[in-house]
Amino acid sequence: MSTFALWRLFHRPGTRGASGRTSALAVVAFAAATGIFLTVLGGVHGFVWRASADHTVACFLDALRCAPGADAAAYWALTFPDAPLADGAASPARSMAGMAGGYVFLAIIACLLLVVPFVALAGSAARLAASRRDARLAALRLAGATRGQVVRLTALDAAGQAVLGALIGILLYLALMPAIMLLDFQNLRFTFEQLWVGPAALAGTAAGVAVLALASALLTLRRVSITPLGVAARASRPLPAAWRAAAFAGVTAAALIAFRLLPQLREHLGEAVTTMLALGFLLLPFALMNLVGSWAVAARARARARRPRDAATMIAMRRILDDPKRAWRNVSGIALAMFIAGFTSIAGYMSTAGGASAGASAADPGMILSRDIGTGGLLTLAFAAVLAAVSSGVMQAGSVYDQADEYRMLMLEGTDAATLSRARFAEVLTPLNVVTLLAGGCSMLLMLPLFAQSMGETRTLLGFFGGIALCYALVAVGAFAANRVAAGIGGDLRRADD
Amino acid sequence: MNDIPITSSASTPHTAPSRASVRPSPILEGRDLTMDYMADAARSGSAHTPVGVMPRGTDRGSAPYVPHALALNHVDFALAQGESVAVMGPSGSGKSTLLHALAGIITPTGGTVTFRGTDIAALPDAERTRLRRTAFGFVFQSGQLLPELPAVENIALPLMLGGMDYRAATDQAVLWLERLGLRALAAQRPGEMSGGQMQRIAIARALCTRPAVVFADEPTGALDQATGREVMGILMDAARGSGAAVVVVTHDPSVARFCSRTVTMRDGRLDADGGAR
Repeated sequence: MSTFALWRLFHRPGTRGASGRTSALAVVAFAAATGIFLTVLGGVHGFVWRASADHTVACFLDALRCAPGADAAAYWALTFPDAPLADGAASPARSMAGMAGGYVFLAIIACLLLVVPFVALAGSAARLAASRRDARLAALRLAGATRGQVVRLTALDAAGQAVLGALIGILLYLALMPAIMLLDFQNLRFTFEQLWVGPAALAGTAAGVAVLALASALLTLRRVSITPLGVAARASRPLPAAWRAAAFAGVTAAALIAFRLLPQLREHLGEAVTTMLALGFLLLPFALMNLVGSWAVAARARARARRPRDAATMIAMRRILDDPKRAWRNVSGIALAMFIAGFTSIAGYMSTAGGASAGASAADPGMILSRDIGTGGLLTLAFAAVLAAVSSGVMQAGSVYDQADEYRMLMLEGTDAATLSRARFAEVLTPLNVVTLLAGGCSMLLMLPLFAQSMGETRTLLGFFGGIALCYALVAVGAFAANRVAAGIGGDLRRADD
Repeated sequence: MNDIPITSSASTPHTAPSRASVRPSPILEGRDLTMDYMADAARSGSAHTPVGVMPRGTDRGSAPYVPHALALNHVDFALAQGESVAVMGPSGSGKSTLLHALAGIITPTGGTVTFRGTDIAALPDAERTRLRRTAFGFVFQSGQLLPELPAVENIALPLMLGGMDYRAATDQAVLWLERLGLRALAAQRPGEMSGGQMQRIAIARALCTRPAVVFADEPTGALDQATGREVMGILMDAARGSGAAVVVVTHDPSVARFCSRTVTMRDGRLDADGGAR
C-alpha cells in the first residue's frame, strides 16, 4: 500500500474526530507562527530597504554590489526636503542615513528575541500533532505496517500540516501588512515594497516550518518505531530536582555581582567587552529559566496539592505534578515576553525623558530614534505576547482533548461542568502566576542595578507592570478561550457502546 | 429480595401475579423507555412509534430515509431498595443505553425514569448531575480513575465534590481502603496498579458516598475470570453493607449469578423470558 493511500485512509471526511481537531489546532499554530515571523521579517526587510543605497539586501551587506550611482542619503533627502545635503553630517537626512544601519541592527535583535517564542510555538504545534499520531501509528505497526511506511506517513502528515499552516500564515502576513504600514518609523510609514520579503523568503520560511515540524514528528516517532506497543504507562515520575533552583539562583546572583562591578570591569576590559558581558549576564538567567521553570511550577503545585481547598484544585494540581514540564511549556513563552516588557519600559522612559531634556523638535533624528526604540519595543512585546498566548492556547486546547475521556467519565459520575472548568483554569493559572512572578521578578531584579534611576520612575514602573499585565491577560484569555472551545467540543456525554 | 420482579412491556406477562402483592415500591423505575439515537429532531414526534423506524418527514432535510432499530424499545424496568439486577444480552442490544437512561446520563427519547418518585428528566441539568453524584455510584469497565490522582484521592474525589474538605474526605477514603484490604495502595496511582486493583478502587469510589443505587457497566470486562469473581464479590458485599441496590450490565453469566435477578435485552427490548431468574 502506498504511503499516500495510507494517508488518504486516515484523512477521509468524517473519519478524524479528535485527531482532526488537534490537527486543525496544529495548523492554526503553524499559521500564527509563520504570519508573525514573516511580519517581523518584513519589518527587518523594510529597515534594510531604507538603509541600502539601492534598496537591495545585497547592497546593504556589501557596498561593492550596490547599483552604480546609488546614494543612501538621497532617499532620506526626500523625507527631509528642507535640509540641503550640502550641510554635510549635520543634515537630518545624513543623520538618518547614518542611523539606518543601527535600525537594522535593532530590528535583527527584536527578530532574534522573537525566534525563541516562534520556535516554541512551532514546536508545540508539532508536538501536539505528533502526540495524537502516536496511538494510531502504534496500531498501524501492530497491524503489520513497516517502519518505513510509518515514517513516511508521519512525514507526510507533519509536513502537510506545517505547509498548510505556513500558507495560511503567508495570507496572515499579507493581511497584517496594511496595519504595519500605518506604523511610523524613522518619521516614515512603511510601503508595501519595503515590507514585501519576496517569494524566496516566503518559500524559505514555509520550508523552515516544514523542516521543524518534520524533525519534531520524527523524533517523537522513535518510540513507536522501536516497539509497536507505544503506549506509555502513567506512573509516577520523579519531580524536577532542587539543584535547578540552586543553579538559577547562583547565575542570577553572579549577574547581580557582575552588574555592580561593571565600572571597574569597564576600566580593565574596555567598553565593548563589558557591554557584551553585561548583555550575556542579562540573557543568561532567562536562558536558564526553562531549567528552573518546571521545578518552580512543580514546587508550587506540590504545596497546593498538600491540602487542596476543593476538588477542582486537587485535580488541577495533580495534573500539573503528573507532568510539570508540560505545565511549564504551556506558559514558558511568556517568560521572554516579560523580559522584553522590562526593556520596553526602560526604552519607553528613555525615549520620552531623553527627548524632553534635549528640548528637540519631533523631527530631530535623535528624538526620532528614541521614539522608534520605544515603539519597536512595544511592537516586539506585543508580538512576543501574542506568540506566547497562541502557544499557550494551542497547548491548553490539546491538553483538554487529552483529558476528554477522563473528564467525560467524571461527568457521567455526577461532576458538574463548573468544577471541571475551574480545574482546567487552575491548571493554567498556577503555572502562569509562577512564570509571572519568576520572569517579572527576575527582569526587575536584573535591571535594577543597571537602570536604577529610571526604574524608580513612575512612568517606567507603569510601563513595566502594564507590559506584564498585557502578557498575563493575553495568555490567560488565549488559554481560557481555547479551553472553552475545546471543552465545548469534547465535553458531551456521548453514547457508550453496549 | 429475589422476589422483586423486573417489569417490562415484554417481560410483564412472565412476572408472577401472586408476588405483586408483596413487591415493595421501587426506588428506581423506568416506564415505557424509548431511545432513538438517530432521531434527535424526532424526540417528541417519534417517541411512541411502535417500531424502530423514523416516521417519514421527521428526518433532517432531504436526508435519505433509513430504517433503524431503537436502542430502547418501550422498556419498563423497576428496581427495589437493596436489590441487585444483572442486565445481560448481546452487543448492541441496548444494555448500556438502559443503564445510562436509568442513571440520568442520557434522556430517553420517550418514557420516564423516576427515582424515589421524582421524574429525573424533569430535573434541571445541575440537579440531575447532583443526583448522580449523591444518590448513584458508578463502576465502569476501565478508565474511570483519574490517572494523575493516587488511590486515596481518587476515592476522596466524589466526597470533595460534595463539599467535604480534603482532610475529612481522605480520612474516609482511607477507611474504605482498609475495609477493602487495599490500605497499601493508598499512595499508588492507577498506572501503578493491576486491573483488579483499579476496579477495587473504583468500587470504593462508587460506594464511599453511600449511594442508593450502584450502576456497574461491564465491571469485570477487562479482568480474568478469577479476578472478576473476586471483584464482583467485593462489589456485592460492599453494596449490601451500604444497603445500595445494584444494576450490573454484563455478558458473563458467572457475573450475573452474583445478582438476585437477571434480565436479558435483545434489540432494545427486555426479553420475554428475561424477567426473574
